[in-house]
Amino acid sequence: MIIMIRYLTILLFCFALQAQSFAQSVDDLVQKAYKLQVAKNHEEAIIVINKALESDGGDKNELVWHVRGFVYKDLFVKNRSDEVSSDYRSEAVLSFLNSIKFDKKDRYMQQNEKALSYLAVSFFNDASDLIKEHASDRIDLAEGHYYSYREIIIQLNPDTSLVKKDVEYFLAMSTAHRKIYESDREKHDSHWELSNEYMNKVLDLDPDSFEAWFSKGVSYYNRGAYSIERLPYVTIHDLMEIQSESMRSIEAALPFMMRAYEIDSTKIDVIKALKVITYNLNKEEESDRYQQLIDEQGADKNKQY
Amino acid sequence: MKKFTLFLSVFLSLLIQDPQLPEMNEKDTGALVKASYLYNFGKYIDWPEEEKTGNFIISVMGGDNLYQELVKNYNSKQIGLQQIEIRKLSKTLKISDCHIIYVGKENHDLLPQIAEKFQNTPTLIVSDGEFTLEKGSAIAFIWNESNWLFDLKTSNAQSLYIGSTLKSLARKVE
Repeated sequence: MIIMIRYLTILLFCFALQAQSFAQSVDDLVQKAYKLQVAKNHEEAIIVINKALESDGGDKNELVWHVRGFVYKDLFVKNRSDEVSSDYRSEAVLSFLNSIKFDKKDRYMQQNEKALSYLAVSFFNDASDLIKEHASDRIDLAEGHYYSYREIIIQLNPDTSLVKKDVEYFLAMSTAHRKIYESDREKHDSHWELSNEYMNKVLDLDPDSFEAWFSKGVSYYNRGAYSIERLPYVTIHDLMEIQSESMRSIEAALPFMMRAYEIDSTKIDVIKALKVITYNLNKEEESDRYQQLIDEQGADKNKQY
Repeated sequence: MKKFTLFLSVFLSLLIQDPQLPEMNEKDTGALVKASYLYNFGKYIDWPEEEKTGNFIISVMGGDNLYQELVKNYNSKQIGLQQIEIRKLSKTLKISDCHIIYVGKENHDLLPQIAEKFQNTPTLIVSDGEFTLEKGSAIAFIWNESNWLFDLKTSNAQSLYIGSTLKSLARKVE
């Protein structure tokens, strides 16, 4: 039904164009492209609509851009699983944005917005799927998709605050890189660094992010703890070297976890983490103090129930 | 640029994934390090020939996590031709012969008696803290600049040959 309305709108406007001062060739080409599009002859439709675009005044014609957007959008949908679909989608976005730009009377506003919304969501979903894959060779592709999604929102409404969304995205990317690193610590060692870089991006936007400080603390502590698992059967020289490297990482975790505790001292996870870190830094009294806090929290919870 | 708000809420309600806090890999790294040291002491110290047959026995009094790590990583492995055997001791002076005995801090009060029992025998006594060398330990684990190192008192291990490698790696040798 929606598609019918869309085509009807385009068709009606095409007829209306004939009576106006648009160059006849542009008008004819738009009509021809539209008919090819309806007949699902997308490849021919592209050739014709791009001819319209190159014709006199075509590049400032909101209908040319609008039809072009749908031609490319349909091609994107048709070739969704192919690599080439990415180019079709980019062309579709460009076309709809230009249609909005030249559409002074907002004739196609609603259709353009709907189409861009669909494309933005497709970018977002692609980014999301790539993040969930945890594939070291594909995770970088998520960045381009997320920023394309972001760009569409900003184009449609420049006042939109995307800080919360960016924080969510950076946290997700950090988690994905951490999981890739954890899947094979030696092979994917560089992903540990990348995971922390994304966490730093979160902190740039939100310096009081509990999740980011906590995750950084765990990240550094775990790196040290896992490194020390290499100890059995190593020589005494290696033992001392591995220990030194591990303890440096565990020491680095403490201030991050302390910051998370300052932000939210009620979270049991951060108290447990501080207990473990201080214990491993041979700060037994501090570790015992955190254990006491854990016991007290446990007692409080028992009281509530 | 025109402002579109119709789909903004849809855009912003999309969720990449549920926020997930990472989990800590809880470890007693001190126990792991000390277990590795004990194994290496077994390799770098030379026991008399008559002690090079049968199992290589490491006894642990206190230090539960250390005992667990030793059992997990070294039990039944070998030092030279000897199979490693880890024994857990309760707080007692009735201790069978062993190559190495680790005395945890909860049992430091027994150290002088343990040292007396193993005096002039080829048993290496290991404990925690510099002061334990005065109580009879031959090796004491020391926490120094965020690392577990060790001090050595050769006079407390007169029946053993402690080579230059171990001496050169000790923080202090008496």
